[in-house]
Formats: sequence, C-alpha cells, structure tokens
Amino acid sequence: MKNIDELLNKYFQALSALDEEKQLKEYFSSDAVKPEHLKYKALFGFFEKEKTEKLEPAIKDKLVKSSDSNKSKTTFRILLSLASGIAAAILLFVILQLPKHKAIESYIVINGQKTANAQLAYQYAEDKIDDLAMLLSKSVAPINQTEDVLQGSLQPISQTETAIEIISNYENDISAIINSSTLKNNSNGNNSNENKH
Amino acid sequence: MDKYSFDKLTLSLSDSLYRTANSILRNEDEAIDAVQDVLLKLWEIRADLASVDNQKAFVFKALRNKCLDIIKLRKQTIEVDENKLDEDLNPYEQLAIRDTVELVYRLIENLPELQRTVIRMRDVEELEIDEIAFVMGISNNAVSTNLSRARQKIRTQLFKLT
Repeated sequence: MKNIDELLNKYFQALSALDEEKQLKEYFSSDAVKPEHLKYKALFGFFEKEKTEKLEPAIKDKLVKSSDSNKSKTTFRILLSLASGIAAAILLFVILQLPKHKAIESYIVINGQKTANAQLAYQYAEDKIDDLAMLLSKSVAPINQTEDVLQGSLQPISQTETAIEIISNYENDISAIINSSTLKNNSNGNNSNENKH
Repeated sequence: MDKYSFDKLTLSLSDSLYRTANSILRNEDEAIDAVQDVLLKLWEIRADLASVDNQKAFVFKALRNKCLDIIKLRKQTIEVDENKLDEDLNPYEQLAIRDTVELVYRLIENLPELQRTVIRMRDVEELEIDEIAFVMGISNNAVSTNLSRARQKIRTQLFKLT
C-alpha cells in the first residue's frame, strides 16, 4: 500500500485512480487507521455506507414488474403498429395492382381467340344478341299459332253457352205467360159465380 | 440486445441509478419514477443500446437527463447555499452528528448539483472520469476540477465541524 498521506493528497486533487481510491477505502474501513487519519474516517465510511443503500426488494420488484408490464405493452404496441403497417401495405399493393389485373383480364374469346378490342367485342356482342332475338321470335311463332287454335276451339263452347242463355231466357218468358194466364182464368171463374148469386 | 442481456444490465445498475436519481432529485418517489422511465426508454431503444460502447455511462446519462427534466418541470432550484448546514443545525445537533457519516451526507447534499453528482458518481458509483464526463456532458478536466473542489470543500467543512 502506498503512503496514505500521498494517496490522500492525490485524492483531494482528483488525481488518484480508482484503484488508489479503493485502497484508501479499504484502509479507512480497517482497524489499522492511524490517529492522524481518523478525521477522514467518516468521509470514506460514508461512501462505503452509501453503497449499501439499495432499493427495497419490494420496490425493486415493483419497478421491474412495472417495467416488464410496460415492456409488454410496448412490444404489443410495436407489434400492433407493425401489423397495421403490413395490412396497410398489402391493401395499398392490392389497390395499385387492381386496375392492372382488370386490364389484363378484360378480354373476350371470339372463335377461340382472345381479344381486348372493345369495339370488336361490342360489335360481336350485338350480332349475337340479334341472333338470339331472331331465334326467340322463331320460337314464339308456334306459341302464337297454338294460341289461335286454342281460341278457335273455345269458340263453339262460347256459342253453346250463348244458346243455353237464350233458351233459359225463353223458359223464363214461357213461365211468366203461363202464370199470367192462370191468374186470368181464376179471376173469370170468380166473376161468373157472383153473377149466378 | 435481448431481454436477458437488458435485464442483466439494468438490474445490476438499478441500485446505483436509484441512489443517483435520489441524490439529484432529493425525493425517493420521484427517483423511483425516474429510474422506471429511463428503464422503459432504454427498453424501447434496446436495439441501439447493444451498439453503445459504454452502456453503463449511457444509462447514467439518460438518468441524469431525466432527472434534470423532472427538476425543470417542477421549477424548483436545486442549488443550496453552502452555508445552509450551519444555519439548519443548532450547536447541539451539530455535536450530535459529529464524527458520523450523517455529517458527510449533509455536507455532500449541500453541494451544488454538478459537484454533488460528480462526487457521488466517482466515490459511490466508482465511475471513471471519462464516464462521468460523458454523463454530465462536460470535459474530463471539468470533471476533475469539480471533483477536486467538492472533495476539498467537504474536507474543509468536516474539519471545521469536528
């Protein structure tokens, strides 16, 4: 060990190294402190005592747990941000790619050949629609004829219904005539009886 | 830096960080909050922390900056009159704490913040001069000057009171 006074001088001028300062601390924590050095004992004793001042285990535990909790929150926040970023990137990518795909996929097949010519496609579609309309009109014609035949078949039935209605009217007229003649006869009979009396 | 390395570093420093924060802030609750905030900030930048040459000094610097922010927020001066000790203590109290470490504690606590932090970082936390210079944002010479002044001031007052 170096001379203590020399070390003390270096110490107070802040020229001592950490190792030298450790030697001083060891010296002043021992029982070999010379009487002329006792006045420094409290100073170095304070530094040694301060080192033993530690966070209470409960506080340290709370501190670490709280930090861990915050770490988890931070990690969660980072992951959430990352996920959001990835989702946004994917969405952006899809949006950017969408017209491109549309352009590529907007074609029709005419006679087994792909074409992206819109005018040709419209013309082709119109022709096909005309063909379809013609086919439909041909298909509807027999239905119209069937309807006419059906109408013709129903006509006699309609005439029969009319005849029945006429006959029925006649029947009603005849009944009315019969009733009125009966009433007349009864009235004439009563008059002749009164005259006899 | 993975969680294990981070915990190893910060847990090994937690007591030192608490002592330093408590010395600067003079408030245990604020000191704990400061340490907690710093640990969280460091966790967020742990990837960068791995590439830092002197992680211990880096952590202390982050802590000191945090403490200074807290002091700014509460708008309180931390400078204390060097003669305050004599005014605070009556002769009986001075006699009672004579030759005790309590006296040294009071002397150190009454130093200006720069000197108080420098002497604590050197004599309690045992940081190298260049590490303290990095933490405090001053030159090595400025650290040595302040350290020397602090030590001599304590010696003078210690001899005066004992």
